[in-house]
Amino acid sequence: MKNKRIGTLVSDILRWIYLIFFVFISIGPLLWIVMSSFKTNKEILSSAFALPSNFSFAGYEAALKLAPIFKFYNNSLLISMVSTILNILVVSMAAYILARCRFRGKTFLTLLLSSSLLIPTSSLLMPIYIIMTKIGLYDTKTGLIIVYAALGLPSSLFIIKSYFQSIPVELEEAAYLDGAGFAKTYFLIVFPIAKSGLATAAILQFLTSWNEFMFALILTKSTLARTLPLALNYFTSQFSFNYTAMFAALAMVIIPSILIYTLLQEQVTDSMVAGSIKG
Amino acid sequence: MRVKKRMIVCFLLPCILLFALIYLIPMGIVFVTSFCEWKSGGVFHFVGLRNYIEAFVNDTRMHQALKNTGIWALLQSTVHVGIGTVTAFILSRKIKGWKILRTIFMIPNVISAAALGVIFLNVFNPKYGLLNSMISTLSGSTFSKNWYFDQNSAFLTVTWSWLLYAGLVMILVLAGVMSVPEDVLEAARIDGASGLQIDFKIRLPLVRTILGTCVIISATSMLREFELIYLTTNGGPGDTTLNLPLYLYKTSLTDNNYGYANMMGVLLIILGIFAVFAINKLFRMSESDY
Amino acid sequence: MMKRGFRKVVGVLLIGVMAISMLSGCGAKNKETGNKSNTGNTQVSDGGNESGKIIEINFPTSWVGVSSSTEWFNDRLKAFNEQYSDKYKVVVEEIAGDQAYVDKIKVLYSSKSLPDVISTGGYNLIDSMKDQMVDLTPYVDDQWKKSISEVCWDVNSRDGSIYGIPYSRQVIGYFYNKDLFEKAGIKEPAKTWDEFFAQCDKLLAAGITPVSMDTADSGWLTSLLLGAMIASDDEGEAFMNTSLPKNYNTKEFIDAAGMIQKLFQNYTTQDAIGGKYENGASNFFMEQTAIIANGPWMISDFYDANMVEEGFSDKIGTAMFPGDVMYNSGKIGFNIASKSEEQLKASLDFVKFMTSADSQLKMLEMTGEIPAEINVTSDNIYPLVTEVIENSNKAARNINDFQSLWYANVVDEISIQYPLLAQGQITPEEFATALTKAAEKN
Repeated sequence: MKNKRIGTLVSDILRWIYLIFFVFISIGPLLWIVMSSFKTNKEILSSAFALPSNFSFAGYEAALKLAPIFKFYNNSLLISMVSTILNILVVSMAAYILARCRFRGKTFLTLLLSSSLLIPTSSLLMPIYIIMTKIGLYDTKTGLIIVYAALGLPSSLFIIKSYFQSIPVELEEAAYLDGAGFAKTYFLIVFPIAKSGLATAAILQFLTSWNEFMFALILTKSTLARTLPLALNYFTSQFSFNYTAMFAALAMVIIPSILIYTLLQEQVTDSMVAGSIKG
Repeated sequence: MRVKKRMIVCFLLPCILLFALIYLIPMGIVFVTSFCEWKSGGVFHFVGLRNYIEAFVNDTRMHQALKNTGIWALLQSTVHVGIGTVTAFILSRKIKGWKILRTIFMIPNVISAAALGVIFLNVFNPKYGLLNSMISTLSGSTFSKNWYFDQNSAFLTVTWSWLLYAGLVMILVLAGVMSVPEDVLEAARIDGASGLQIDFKIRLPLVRTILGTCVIISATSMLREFELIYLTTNGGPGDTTLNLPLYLYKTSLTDNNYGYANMMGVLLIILGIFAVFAINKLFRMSESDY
Repeated sequence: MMKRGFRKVVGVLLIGVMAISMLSGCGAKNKETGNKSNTGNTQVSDGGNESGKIIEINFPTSWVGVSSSTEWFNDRLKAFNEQYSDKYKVVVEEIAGDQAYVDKIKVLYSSKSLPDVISTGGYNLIDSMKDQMVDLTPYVDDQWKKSISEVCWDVNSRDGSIYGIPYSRQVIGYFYNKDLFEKAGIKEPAKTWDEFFAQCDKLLAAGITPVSMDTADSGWLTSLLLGAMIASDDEGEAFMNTSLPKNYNTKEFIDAAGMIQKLFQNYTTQDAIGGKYENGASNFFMEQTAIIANGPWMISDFYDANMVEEGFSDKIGTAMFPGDVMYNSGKIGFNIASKSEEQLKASLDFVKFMTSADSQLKMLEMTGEIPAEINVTSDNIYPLVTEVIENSNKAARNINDFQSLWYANVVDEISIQYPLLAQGQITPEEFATALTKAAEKN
């Protein structure tokens, strides 16, 4: 009996060491950025991890002056949200078919769609640029929305598909037998059940769009369609730098995405609990 | 489940259209031009397999890039997924504060690569970096190692920037584990199974497809990893931390050798399809659990 | 039955797409409508409304944010748009970051849609893109040609044709900290490289790290030293004035690489390997190093309280590299890639304005960049800038910098090979071979 208790104690301690280590490496960097945004250039470059000598918001002022952060902010929010909705709607429909139906060419289609997971986006940069200019979506938010919805296609597909596969099929079949159409069954029955999977995929999709840099740079040219990550480049150029302003901007980019994530995460939890009760 | 054909088509169509526009057509362009010499402007001509032969026979940098990409993909699909899964199982027991921990572990995946790159450069800075200062304080003597640019440590240091940050895997597995029906677990408990036994014998097999997804996402993310290397070592010192996507980027944007770059794109796609296929088989992904 | 279901789905999708494009498209439209002619598809510009129409000039720039030219550029842009408000309008695309700028121009080039006017601020894109750039030779008259120093036309010309309009001269020596020199017992900057190394030893003995160096982003600070070392004799000087050299296996180059290796191993800071310009600069600003090679645009930072301690600028001296070597060359100027005659005229007017004597004077005063025009001088500048200009007039050997001379992938390769060289994993010979191999890829 006593041995067992010591065993539990040891495993508890090991567990907590493990968890604390990961907490440290996960939020340490974040705290560091926030702290650095209150330091002067000199302090950042001489002693990166010392506390700031006095807290000043000069970095934030400079950041807002140097780059059109608020404008980019609105763009980022709109583009990320709409691309997430588009992505989840389009991908989940396909994922449902791939998870539930048998038809010729299914394996091929799955493989084809999955292959998009492996393509380094930088290799497609130029062709996509050409296509976007040709169909007149260059430098529009719509263009970025479509590209971002596609960028998240493979991971959303995988997540949503494997969720559909883990949901018992009986419910849908019952609805189906009751005479509900396929589309109706899907949107009214399946969609709510798969809420947790969809929400997880949606969060990831949102973050992908929020943080993407390369396409935002290449596919836009006016500040009307540009997104937040592009603002970070305003603070270093080859021969000049303003670290304080850059870290302030970093903090302004990072903190909202963490907040948004945390808020949405609650949603996932709720639906997950609900889902597991239903079994 | 039997569904009418037309319904299948119209559920798949939007996704296929999106895929065609952003992936398929560009992929077609990439594939065709991988057999061409295409160096600048729009001038290119067909050279057959020359790009491929050059890559496999002569290009030692290519070999290094392939090797690194492979090692990273392997590490990511084992260690990385392992860490995420262990964390998920610990949290799934609903220990105190598990919700907060779940959010915290996800934070590095929420932060953009541009931000992470800046952070890591400062953590591993030889002069004032966090790691060296910590080691110096602990050991009591000055310690200076140039983590990113010493040939012995560069590879591991770059690996650090993604290997341990398994928040995504954790969250996917956790969601899967928690949706394992309670009655299944109850039955096992009545049979006298211990916590660990339940974890290994019941929960783990039940999240098989999700684990497979995680392995696919993790392994293939290494076929795309670019920004974090670009922003820290840029492939150096020498070719120590060069991987295929970075090499591709450099070949197209610094060497302006688009044909050769697109050949790498094709190689990556082939590698990826192979990986997905193998993992699919390994985890029997296409079968449902119910 | 099925048909209706299908239509429903398509309907929902269409509504969704329409809602999206209305939400997002509208905002962009306002600016888009007049702007079409410049995106590369020229179909709109030639027809349409004739009388009193305002031509738009497309100009992407990296002169935004912290770039040292931001203030100057905004001032000039405003003046131009005012002066030509009835004829032209410059549509500026802000691309922050030099590398991002060059990358974007390359993508535009590959799809044959270069903007009207390009200014890379030093990067040489002429060799790789001149087929899509306008040959400006017919538009440059003799008087114009004479007013600007010859070196500036040289770097902007290929085979006698002019592809860039110069606005600035690249004048680079090194700065040193007089206080630290005094502490180490050094009277004046070295005349030879042997003396330079002897001074480094003295600095070390006094507990001072001699030189600021870097390796990232083509190792600007380090490569400036490398170039100056190469130019120690006539052949080396010729090499540092040769465009796109392919062979680096020369005695001068290997000797210089050997000296750089020595500097890395004994005379610089720990963070030099892998470090960027920022790290090297801040070491100098904080008086942790005594020497830094860089151009006069850095001088305004010597007076900036956010960067340095009060009175720092008084401690700084300027010097030529040993052997009286100075970087004294033209800088790549404004390139034009307009597609129609009308656009070209507009672009030329814009470029003329941006490179006018007046604009160059403003640039000298605001950024410390040396004008391309010979007669432009000002009393309203930092004394250190004047010192640098005086040095350049005395220099025995004038050379050009690696970023405008060497192939882009060679410049990139330097960053990769420096750490290996510094840590002794490759010899100077192997360093030279690696660069030669990179150059041969072109």
